[in-house]
Amino acid sequence: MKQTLCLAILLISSLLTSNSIACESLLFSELAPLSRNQATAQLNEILLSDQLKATNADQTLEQQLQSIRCYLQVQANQDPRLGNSGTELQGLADALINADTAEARREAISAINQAVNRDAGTGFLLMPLPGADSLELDLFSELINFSCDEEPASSCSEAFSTAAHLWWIAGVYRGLADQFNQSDVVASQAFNQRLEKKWLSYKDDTILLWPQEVLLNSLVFRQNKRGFTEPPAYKLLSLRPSIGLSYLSDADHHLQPTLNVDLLGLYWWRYGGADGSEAQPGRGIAASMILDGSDHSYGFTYYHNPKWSVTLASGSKNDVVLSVSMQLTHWLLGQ
Amino acid sequence: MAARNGNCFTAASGSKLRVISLPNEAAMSKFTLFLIHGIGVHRDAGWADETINLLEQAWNESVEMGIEKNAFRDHIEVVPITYDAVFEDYLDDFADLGKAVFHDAIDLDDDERQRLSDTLQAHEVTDRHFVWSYLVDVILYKMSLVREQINALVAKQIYTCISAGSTADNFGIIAHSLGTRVINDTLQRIRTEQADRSNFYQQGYKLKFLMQISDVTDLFGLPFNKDKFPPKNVFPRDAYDYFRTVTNCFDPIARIIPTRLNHWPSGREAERYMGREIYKDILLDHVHETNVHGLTHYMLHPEITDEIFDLCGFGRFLTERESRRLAFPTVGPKVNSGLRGALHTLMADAAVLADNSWQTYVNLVLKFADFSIEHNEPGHFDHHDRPGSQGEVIA
Repeated sequence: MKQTLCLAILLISSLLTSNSIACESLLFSELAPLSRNQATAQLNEILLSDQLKATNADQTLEQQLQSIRCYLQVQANQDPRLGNSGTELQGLADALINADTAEARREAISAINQAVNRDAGTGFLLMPLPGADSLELDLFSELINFSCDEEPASSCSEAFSTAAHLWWIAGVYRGLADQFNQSDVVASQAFNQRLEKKWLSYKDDTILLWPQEVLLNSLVFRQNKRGFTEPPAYKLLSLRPSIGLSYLSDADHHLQPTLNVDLLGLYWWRYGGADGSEAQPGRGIAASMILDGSDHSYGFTYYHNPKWSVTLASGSKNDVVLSVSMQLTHWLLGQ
Repeated sequence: MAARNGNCFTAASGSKLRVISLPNEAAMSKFTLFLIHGIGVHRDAGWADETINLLEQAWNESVEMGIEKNAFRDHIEVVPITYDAVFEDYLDDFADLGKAVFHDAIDLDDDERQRLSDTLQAHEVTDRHFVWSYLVDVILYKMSLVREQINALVAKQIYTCISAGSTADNFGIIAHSLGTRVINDTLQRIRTEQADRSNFYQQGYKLKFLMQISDVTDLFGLPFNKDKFPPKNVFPRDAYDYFRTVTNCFDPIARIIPTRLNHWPSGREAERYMGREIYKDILLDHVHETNVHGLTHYMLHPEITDEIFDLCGFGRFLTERESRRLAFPTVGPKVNSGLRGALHTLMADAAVLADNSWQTYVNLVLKFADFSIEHNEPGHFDHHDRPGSQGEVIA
């Protein structure tokens, strides 16, 4: 019994000690005597400053959160509006620190985001209270002006100090996610890079589309209802004109330039590369029409790549029409 | 000296106030402001230079912080977002495909080819027509393939910037014209995406505000009033804290469909959050330049720039906000003096016809068409001769 009592006293004493240290370290570096105007200017400066980063380095995260809880508990004794916001904040932080799954971590981040906010423009703070309630506090009109206009100077002085502390506390909580979201941030950066590259590759590394084909492909493109959609691995071809060099079986001049039009076709490929964002060389087929000036023939086109194609067709005047794209002709003649 | 109060320190009492001072190494935090362009040619981030200059000018006239670092660039970082390259790429593709066909088809020697090229250039056939440069952007954006690519590109630019900072940092977005729909679609995708696929909301980042200037978000329901993928998850306070729409009643594009409140949740218009209205619809009626639709024309008005500075966190440092707003001339100094009377009459009519946007716009065109004809008749003064006159400002 005596041993248990001693242990309890020791425990309480150590808690008090740790709280005391933590609360002290919540303070900023120095305090300066100022007029009210000067104090307002300095508070404005605090509201616009990057204090969060400047004070983070001095304490571990746990120490910082403990200090905040301690500070808010004491402040709540003086300003009942703060209620149990310290405990609520600690609960939000604990949920984030102890989250053992990615889902739990994201939920905890979202909960903090909903509960804590600050606005330098209006001087408003949002802090959590028990239940679904939040405390929306106007630092200037509800805290400083109220204290400085209605109360003695000592209370005014404290109001400035409290405003600065509360602002900083909200900032610490707004920045808490930074220490837990890095895996999602790194993955998202890679995702964004890859998605943009893949769309560029879709457009530029495969067959180029005519306006009517962009319209047709957009009509058949299935977008995800949620989130981003990756580009497809095909393009529909439609009413696609090109000039070919054709062999006409029954014409006086067997070899002639012709106007070839792909009526409807499909070009497809796979994505490869290190991150799967690069369109690989594809293949295509199309139902085509060949116009040679006096006859039109119908047949099929095979695309070996976007620029090399061969069409085999048949018309009323020519039983066999064999046409190759100009780019392929240039290559063949060059060999 | 600090006094102990319970377990925590608070400021000491005394005749002078004591306030917690900044640690020496604390830097000024910057508000990141994304600018998203509309239709037209915006090849690189330089498209926003003029807008940034106007913001800076307005800051110098309206913000007084009483601290050493008082400059616009000390406090606001403007990040222009550019997506026009996608449109340009598609247009280049179309041109290249056409060129390839005709290059193969037309057998010309080099001299003749050069002569043809010179002739085309002399007649400005090679210049992109207004329809090609501007309206085609809207048509292309209606195509889902192009839209998806643009949304991915915009998301990447925004995410790269946001993720470089802290979740405690502040971000806001100003979108203009087509950019209003682009940002809504992009945020819709971001919000409904997974956390590890750029959903920055689930990572703890927040947007302070979205300002839509010459809002065309609802225009994309045309022509059948059917929007296949409306940005239905992009609303305050989930996607951003505050929402602003800005319209000039003489802006023909913003007034095709009066989007005011159309896509706002009903019954929430009066809500406030942290000391500000969540929703605010700002209607302007100034005419200072020919292009009333232009982003820079909107940025001339102190009501807009003040609202931006307020949302960015500097509202308490704005001086004489109301008097500057009231003193801003409705008709700008560049507008020909002969046109001023007609403009003022028109504005009086426009106030009556505020609910009928097309009528307002048609009135504008008719009035100025009539007026221009009168003054071009013999016997009337030629307004082009007047020093500093810009007779074509409106017509």
